[in-house]
Amino acid sequence: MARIPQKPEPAVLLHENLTLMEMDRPGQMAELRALPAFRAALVKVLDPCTVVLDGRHLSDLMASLNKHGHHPRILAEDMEE
Amino acid sequence: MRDMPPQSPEFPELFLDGYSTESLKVMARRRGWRDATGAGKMELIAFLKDRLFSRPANHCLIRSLPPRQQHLLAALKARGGKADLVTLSATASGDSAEVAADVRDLVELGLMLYPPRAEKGRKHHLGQCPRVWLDPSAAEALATASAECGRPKLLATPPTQIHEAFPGLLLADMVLVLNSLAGTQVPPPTEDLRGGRPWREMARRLLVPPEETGDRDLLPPRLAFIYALLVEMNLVRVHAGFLVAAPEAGLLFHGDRAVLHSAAFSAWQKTQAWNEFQRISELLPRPIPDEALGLHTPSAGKVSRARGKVLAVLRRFAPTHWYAFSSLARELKVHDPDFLIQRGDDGRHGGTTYRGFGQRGRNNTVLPLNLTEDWDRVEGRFLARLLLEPFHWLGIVRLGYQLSPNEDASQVDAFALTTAGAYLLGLATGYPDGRAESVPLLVQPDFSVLCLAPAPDTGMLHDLCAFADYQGGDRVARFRLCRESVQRGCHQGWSAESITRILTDATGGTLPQNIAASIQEWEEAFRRFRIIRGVALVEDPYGLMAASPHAAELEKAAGGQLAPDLRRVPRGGKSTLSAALRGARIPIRHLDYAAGPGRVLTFDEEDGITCSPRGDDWLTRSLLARIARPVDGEPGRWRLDPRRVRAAAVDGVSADEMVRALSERSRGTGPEIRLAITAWSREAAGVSVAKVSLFTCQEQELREMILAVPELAAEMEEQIADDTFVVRAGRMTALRRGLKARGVRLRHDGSLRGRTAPSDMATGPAAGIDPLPFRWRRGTKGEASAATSSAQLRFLLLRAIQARRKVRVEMCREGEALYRSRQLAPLVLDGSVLTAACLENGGRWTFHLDQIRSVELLAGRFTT
Repeated sequence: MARIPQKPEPAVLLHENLTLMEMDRPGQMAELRALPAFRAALVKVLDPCTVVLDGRHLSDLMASLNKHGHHPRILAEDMEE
Repeated sequence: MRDMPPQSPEFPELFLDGYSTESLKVMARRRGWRDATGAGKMELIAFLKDRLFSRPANHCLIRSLPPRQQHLLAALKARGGKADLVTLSATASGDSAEVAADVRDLVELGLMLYPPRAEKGRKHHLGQCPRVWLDPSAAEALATASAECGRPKLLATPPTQIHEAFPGLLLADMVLVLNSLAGTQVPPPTEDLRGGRPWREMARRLLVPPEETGDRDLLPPRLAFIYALLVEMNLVRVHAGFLVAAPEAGLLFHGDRAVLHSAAFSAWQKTQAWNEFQRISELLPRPIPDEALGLHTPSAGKVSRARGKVLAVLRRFAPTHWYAFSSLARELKVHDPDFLIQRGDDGRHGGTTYRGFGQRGRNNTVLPLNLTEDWDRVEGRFLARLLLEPFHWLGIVRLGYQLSPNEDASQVDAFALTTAGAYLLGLATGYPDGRAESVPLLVQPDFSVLCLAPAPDTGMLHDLCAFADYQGGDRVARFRLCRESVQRGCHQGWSAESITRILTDATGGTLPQNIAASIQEWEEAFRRFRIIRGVALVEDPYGLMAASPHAAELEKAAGGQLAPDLRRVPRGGKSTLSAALRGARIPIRHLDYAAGPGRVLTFDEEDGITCSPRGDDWLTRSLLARIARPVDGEPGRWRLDPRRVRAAAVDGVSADEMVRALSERSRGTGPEIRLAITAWSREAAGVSVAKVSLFTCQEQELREMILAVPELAAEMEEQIADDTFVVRAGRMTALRRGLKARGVRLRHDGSLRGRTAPSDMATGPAAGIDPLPFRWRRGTKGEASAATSSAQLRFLLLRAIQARRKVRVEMCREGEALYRSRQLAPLVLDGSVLTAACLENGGRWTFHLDQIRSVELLAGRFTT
C-alpha cells in the first residue's frame, strides 16, 4: 500500500518570485484561454483579472500574444512603475 | 629646287606608304609648290617634312581649317592618335559623305595618315574599315590649338524656364518608400521592375503622378529608381518572399544628410537594377539576322560604367553656371564617343548600323540607326535621359529650357551643376546646409500632421512614419495620427511619452491637448496586459494572521488583499513581513518559484505519484494537475490521467517538458511514467508511422480553385506546406479521379502533370458540384462530417487571410446559443484559433473554430 504523506504543519505560506499577469477587465481571461500557449503557461487564477504564470513558458506566451496583436508590458517587481 | 634638303636616313617608312604621289602633288599645289612632279619623291617629302609639316606651320594650318575638320583632329587626338573611320565619323555631325570628304582633305593635308601597308592590308583582309593615324607633328600643333579651346563655354543667356533640383526630396521619398514596406507584405518587383497591387497602392499613396507608362503593372520610374537605390544600399531585403526594411535604416536617416546623399549617389552609380538605356522610349529592340556578330545593346554593367564616364566629363563643367546640353554632348563626343557603346574594328562590333535596337517608327516599326551618323539619337538620348532623371532626381543638376518643355519631356536645353552636385562630384568640399529646410511640423486637433518643409529632415520623417499614417502630399507631406498607427509605433518600441515628446519638439511646443490625451489612451489600450515578474504573495490558509493579536500590524505588512486568504506583499516588504510574523510567533514556509522544490515527488510502480507536503506549491500542483488527477480520500496522492496528458500535449506542452518538470521535483522519473507520458503525447499529436499520400500544387491560383471545390478539399487531411497537403487515407484514387474529371491530371508522386485552363474547372464533366465554392456552412452539406466542415472553414479562412479578402462569419460567443453574423478581416489562424478584426464595430476578436458556423468569402479586400 502506498505511503500516505503527513498533514502539513499550519503555517503562513510566502510565495516568492512569482510571475503575475494582470488584465484591465475580467472578460479578457476567456479570450486568452483560447490560446494554447496561455493554457500551457497558466498556473493559478487568483482573481478574474490576475493569474499566476509559469515563468518558463513566458517566451512562448509572448510570441503567441504578439502574434495575436497583444503586446503586454513586462515589468520586474523591483522596477515597477 | 636648290634648297631641297638631302634624303634623311631616319625618314620613316610611314611617309612613303602614307602618301601617294597624287597626294603629294595636291599638298604641293596647295602650298604653292609648282614643280612637284619634276623633283625626286624623296627629296620632296623631306622638304615637306621640314618646311611644311613643322609645328608652327601646322598650327597655322589647323587654325585655318573648317570647324568640323578641327573637331575630327581633336577627336582623333582624344583617342590616342589612332581610330577607325567609323568611330571617328560618329563623333562628327553632318552627312557621312561630307565627313568622309573632310577626312580625305585632312589626309591630303598630311595631318592624318593611313597606317603602314602591313596593317592596312591586314585590316582590309578582315573586311573592316581602315584606320587613320594622327601625324605626330600635327599632334604637337594640336595640343596648343586645343588648349586655346579650354573648358566648355558658358551659355550666353540663361534659360527662360528652370526646373529646380530638390536633393532632399528624393531622400524624403526614400524614407517614405522604405516605411511603406514596414509592417506590410510587399513582394519584390520582378527584374524588369514590374510589381503588383501593393506597388500600385504605394505609388498612389506617395502621389507619384501617373507617368508616361500605359502598363499598370510597371513601377513608376521614380518609384523604381528609389527601389533600386534602397536595394543597392542594402536597406531592404527579401525575407520569406516579402520585402522588409533593414533595421539600420533608422541610423542612416538620422545621420548626416551629406552622408545619406553620398550613399544614394554612390548606390546609383553601382546599381544594375535601374537601366537608363532601357528608359529611352524612342528606341526599340530590333532583331538581327546574324547574332554571332554581337549586339550593340549595352548591358546593365556597361550602363553602370557609362555613368562613371559621364560623371568624369561632367567634372569639367563649373558648378552653378549654365551650360547648353549640346556642350556636354560635344565634350563626350570628342573625348569618349564610345562611352556607352563600343564601336571599332575588333570584328565583333564592326558594321555600319547599331545592332539589337533601332529607332521607333510609325506603328512601332523599327528603323535602323547608323553607327557613324546617329550618335545623337542613341548616346545623345542616353545623356538626356541621365540629366532628366537620375541627375535631376539626385539633385546634381538644375534643368533649363529655352521654351516650354515638350510633351514627352525627353529633351533638355541647358543644365547647371548644383552645389550639392559639386559636392558629390568632388568639385566642392562643403555640403549645402540642410537644416535651413527644417520647418516646424503643424499638428492640428483633427489628428492631421502637416510637414511644411519641401524636403523635410529624413530623421524626423522616419520617426513620424513609425507612428503616423502617411496620407500623401505634394509640397506639404500630410500624416494622420490614429489608434492603429500609434499602436504600430508602440509595437516598434515607441511609447506615448516619446511620441508626445517628438511631436512637441517638432511643433515648437504647441501640441493640442486632445492629441496628447489620445496618444496616452491608445498606448494604454495597446498595453492592456501587464506581466510582472518577481512578485511575492503571502497566503494564510489557516487564518493564523487573522487570529493573531497583532492582526492589524500583520495585515499592514502583508500588503493589499488579492483574494480572501491572499495578499500581495509590497515592493521591498518581504523582510518587514517576515520580522512581523516572527514577532507574532507565526511559522512561515517559503516557497521559491525561481528555484522550485526538489525531491517532493515519489512514484509508484505503476502510474501513482505521491507529493510530500513540502511540494504543495502552486506550480507543482499545477504541473501535477496537468497530467494527473488527485486520488479521492488520499491527500497528496495523484494518478496519471491519459486525457489530461493529451490535453496538455494539445496545448503545446511537450512530453519532454512534462517529464523534466517531474524529474526536477523527484529523484528521477520512473520509466513507466515516462513511457506513458510520451506515448499519450504522441497519440495526442497524431504521430504514427503510416504511409501517407501527398498532393502538391505549386500554382497558387489553381490550388485555391481546387480547395474551393468542397468535394476535392474534403479529401485533404492536413496542409503541411504552402503547396503540399496530406491526402486522407485511402482517398488518393478518389482525389485523382475528381481532379481528372476536371481536366487536371496527377503524377504518381501526387504533383500535377497537366491541366486545362483554370476556367474549365467550373465546366468540367463533373461540374455543378457546388455553385458557391466560396461559402461553407456547417450541417447543410448532407454527409459532411464535423471534421470535414472544420477543414472547409479552415481552408476558406486561410484563403481569405492569404488573399486579404473580407469574410462574413456566423459565430456564437462562448456560453451563448445565439449566432451573430459579422463582417471580419481575418488576420491570423493559429491552429483552431482565429484572430480577426471586426469591420462593423471595430475591435480585434479571437474565436475558436468550433464557435464558427459558417464562413463566406466576400468580394472586398482589406488592408492592414
